[in-house]
Amino acid sequence: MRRLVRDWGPPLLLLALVVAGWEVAARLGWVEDYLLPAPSEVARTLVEDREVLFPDAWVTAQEVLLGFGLALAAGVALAVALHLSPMLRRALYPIVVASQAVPVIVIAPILVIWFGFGMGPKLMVIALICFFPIVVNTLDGLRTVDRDQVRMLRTLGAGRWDLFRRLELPSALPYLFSGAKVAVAVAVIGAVFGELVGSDAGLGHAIQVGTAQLLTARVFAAVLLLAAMAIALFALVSAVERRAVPWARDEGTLG
Amino acid sequence: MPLKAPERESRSTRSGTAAVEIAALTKTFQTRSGPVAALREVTFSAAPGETLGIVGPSGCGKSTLLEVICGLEPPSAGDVVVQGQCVLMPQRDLLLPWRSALDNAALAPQLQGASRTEARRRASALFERFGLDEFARARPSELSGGMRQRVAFARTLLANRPVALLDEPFASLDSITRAELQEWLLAALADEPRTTLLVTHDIEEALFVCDRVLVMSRRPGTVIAELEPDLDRSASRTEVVTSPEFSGLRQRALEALA
Repeated sequence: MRRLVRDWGPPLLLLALVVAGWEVAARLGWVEDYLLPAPSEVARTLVEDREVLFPDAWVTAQEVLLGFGLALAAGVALAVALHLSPMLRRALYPIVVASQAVPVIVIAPILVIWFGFGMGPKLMVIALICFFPIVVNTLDGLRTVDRDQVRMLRTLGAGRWDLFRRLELPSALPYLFSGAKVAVAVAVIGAVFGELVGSDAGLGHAIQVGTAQLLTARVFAAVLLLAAMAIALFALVSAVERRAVPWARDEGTLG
Repeated sequence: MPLKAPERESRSTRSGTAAVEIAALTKTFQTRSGPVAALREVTFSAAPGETLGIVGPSGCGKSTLLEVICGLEPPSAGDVVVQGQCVLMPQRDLLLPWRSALDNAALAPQLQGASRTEARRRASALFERFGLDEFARARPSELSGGMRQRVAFARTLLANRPVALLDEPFASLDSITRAELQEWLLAALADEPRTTLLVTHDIEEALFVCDRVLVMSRRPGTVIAELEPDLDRSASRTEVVTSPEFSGLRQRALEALA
């Protein structure tokens, strides 16, 4: 309980102060309502427009989960392949890195042209963004095993597969989760971006329509839902990490 | 760098009564500033079941010697004959943090093809005999340095190789824990006999634990003295290390090193 207060107290207090200040500023009419609606107004919109916003949120959530899942599967598979085949690593890794220099902003419209307004292009935008941190972190994890540990396993008779399964993979797990946490945080951005480029549903679409109609409170409500989604996903990945990598905390590698 | 012990011809064709036979072994490393001789004409043998200590100053090539015997490094010259395979216990315990103490020890049989259940069964049997069962389920991070080293030693024995090479196994422990572990090691080796080569820079440790002790010179290392501590194994450690015979042996070792 005490820890809970210590960890969550300061950020919550700060947030409460900012929201309170904002509310006061809006109530006193310092800013126009269509520019910055009061927090209470945003909350009211969230409830009143729930039949518009929640189906949109559900669409975005599905995109994020599927896109992230896709990136996770492909990212881990590629990292393992690059790790096990030095030749593949030399050939492909520089290209994977270089591919990150191409902005997704450029790729997204092309994806929409190719695949239309459905879920497909959004999944690809999300997967493209999430993929990179997962590959890089997992590959680093697989490569930074303790040399002495490798030697110890070798002298005990370990083959290549034993090394991978019993040493490299478990050693890489904390890294994999670091990558997944970065990825899940940007996944929501990817989804919104994909929707802004061309879509007829999702919170990105709601933001676009809301902006055009000057429904500022609704735009803020949509942003609030997106933030909640990102935080929930991050918490979910962290919870899975605590379950899957309990030793990382006692080793002190991940706070 | 070859990591697996290469099956060199000299290992299988020659047969003697010794478990380990080293003849005129020389090891030279090529470095950027020219060749560095680590070992020069090292000759000795260890009988089956014997505990042989090797003491010497830091950097005298003791660890290199074990690496060559284990097959991790090729000798530059000379012969190395080992009856059967060796297992090397390094100074660091290298326990895998995600495995329990028991599963860390069970790793050795598992890597030789035993099923998880069978490997655990063998590890538990050993843990019970060594008085470790209380800690079987603990993760390495929950164990003290001394306990971790005991688990690492259990893993070494479970590799089930006739020759065990121990490279400064207690060097990172405080002196009280080290003394405790020396007694424990003596009991463990009495219970589970192996041809054992114990490398250490602690003269007292070598004299207390080993049947025979080789003293090595500074680099390039070579054997400069041999001691046979014929001590009363039934006496307590304190009695042994404070006895006049023990002081005499220690003095001879120190004189050889001076």
